[in-house]
Amino acid sequence: MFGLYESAFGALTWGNVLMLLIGGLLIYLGIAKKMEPILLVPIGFGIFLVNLPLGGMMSYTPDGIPASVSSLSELVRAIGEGKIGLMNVLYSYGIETEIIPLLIFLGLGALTDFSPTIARPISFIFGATAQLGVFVVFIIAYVSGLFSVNEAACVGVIGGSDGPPTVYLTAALAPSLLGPITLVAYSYMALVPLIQPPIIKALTTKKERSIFMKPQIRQVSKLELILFPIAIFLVASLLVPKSVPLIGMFMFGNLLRVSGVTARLSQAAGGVFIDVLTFLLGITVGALMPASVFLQPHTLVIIGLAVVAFAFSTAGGIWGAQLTNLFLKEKINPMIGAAGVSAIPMSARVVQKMGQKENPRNFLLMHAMGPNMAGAVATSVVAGILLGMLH
Amino acid sequence: MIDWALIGEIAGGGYGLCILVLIVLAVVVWIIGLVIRKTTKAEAATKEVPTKES
Repeated sequence: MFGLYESAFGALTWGNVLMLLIGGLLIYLGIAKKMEPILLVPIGFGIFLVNLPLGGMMSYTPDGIPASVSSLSELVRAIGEGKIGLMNVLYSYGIETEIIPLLIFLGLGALTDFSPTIARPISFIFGATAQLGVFVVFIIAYVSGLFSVNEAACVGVIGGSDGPPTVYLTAALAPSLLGPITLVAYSYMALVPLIQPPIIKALTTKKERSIFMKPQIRQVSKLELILFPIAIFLVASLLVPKSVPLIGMFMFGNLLRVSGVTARLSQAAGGVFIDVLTFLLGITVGALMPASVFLQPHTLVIIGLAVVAFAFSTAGGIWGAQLTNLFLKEKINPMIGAAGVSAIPMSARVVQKMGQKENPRNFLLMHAMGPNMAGAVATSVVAGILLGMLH
Repeated sequence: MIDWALIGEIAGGGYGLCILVLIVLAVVVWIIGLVIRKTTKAEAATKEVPTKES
């Protein structure tokens, strides 16, 4: 443009401009509306980083997958020659190796209190039935002909509403869709308070929503808390071996929390450690969304299918609770099944709010937290099952 | 060409397996809780006996 000097204006496309607007919108939603700010702000800025031409933050293969290198010496040379950028390094070593989502899950384990699930083990059933959306959307996505089997499975797993398993599965089975799937998954988790209430109302009667549950849950002993992560890890790993990385990290983090002798490790895992990993994940996922990759018809389809996945998962949880009620003397409020759609703790809060509206005496939060935690375990199991079938 | 057998195996089999695994986990957690509560009650009862005798 000016002799040897070249500004980015000439290379800017309408796609880039649109992506900059999308990035700006995500940053706005994160900051102004407080929607999942820990993820949406870094994702939004990651989109900025790769949609300003000639910046060289990330280079891609013709398939839209970030370029990677096979060895450290090649990496150093490629960076020196400007063939790959910083975001390629973060992607190659953090996401492609699946280290970041797994370590985030370790941190989440250290932050999770499983007492409500231990006090009412039946919560696991609601967590399981709430995976319905994963499989319904898998079928729709595959039958549509727009996605391969592997891609359809990754689109479906958005319905599990749990970030790390979604990222883990997509990085393994359909890395080219990692950007849109991760963005949609985290954005929709923030929209749970808008998506779930109409579905819960449509599938339950006023009488069911008013069912009273005693506010207290059973006191769980320290020994139970310690044995829980060990038992869950051993049994789930034997039944679904491919879930070992996810369940293993999740339960290890939880063991650090409950053991009572590793408080420093637990605080570290659930503090700065998970924060650093989360923003590395966010900014790298944002960098997976250059205009050429993100502005494709399948992105819009993923956005639409995610709503269907959340809706069916909510329905699955409620139907699971209604079915269980047929066999219980002391009926449970079927709304707590909807909290099986992980999205910790948003879906449990939705149930609490709706429960109090129908019956002001009801305090369903702790009852809903059980399926909520069980949903996180269930999504890891589902990711393991899908990996075992498709990888 | 849609492979319906594959869809059935992944969707039906996958969802069924997920429910089965989670039911097993529920039973395991319930049994652990039950055993610990019974043991704790038994221990508490054993401790109470000498106190009453003394």
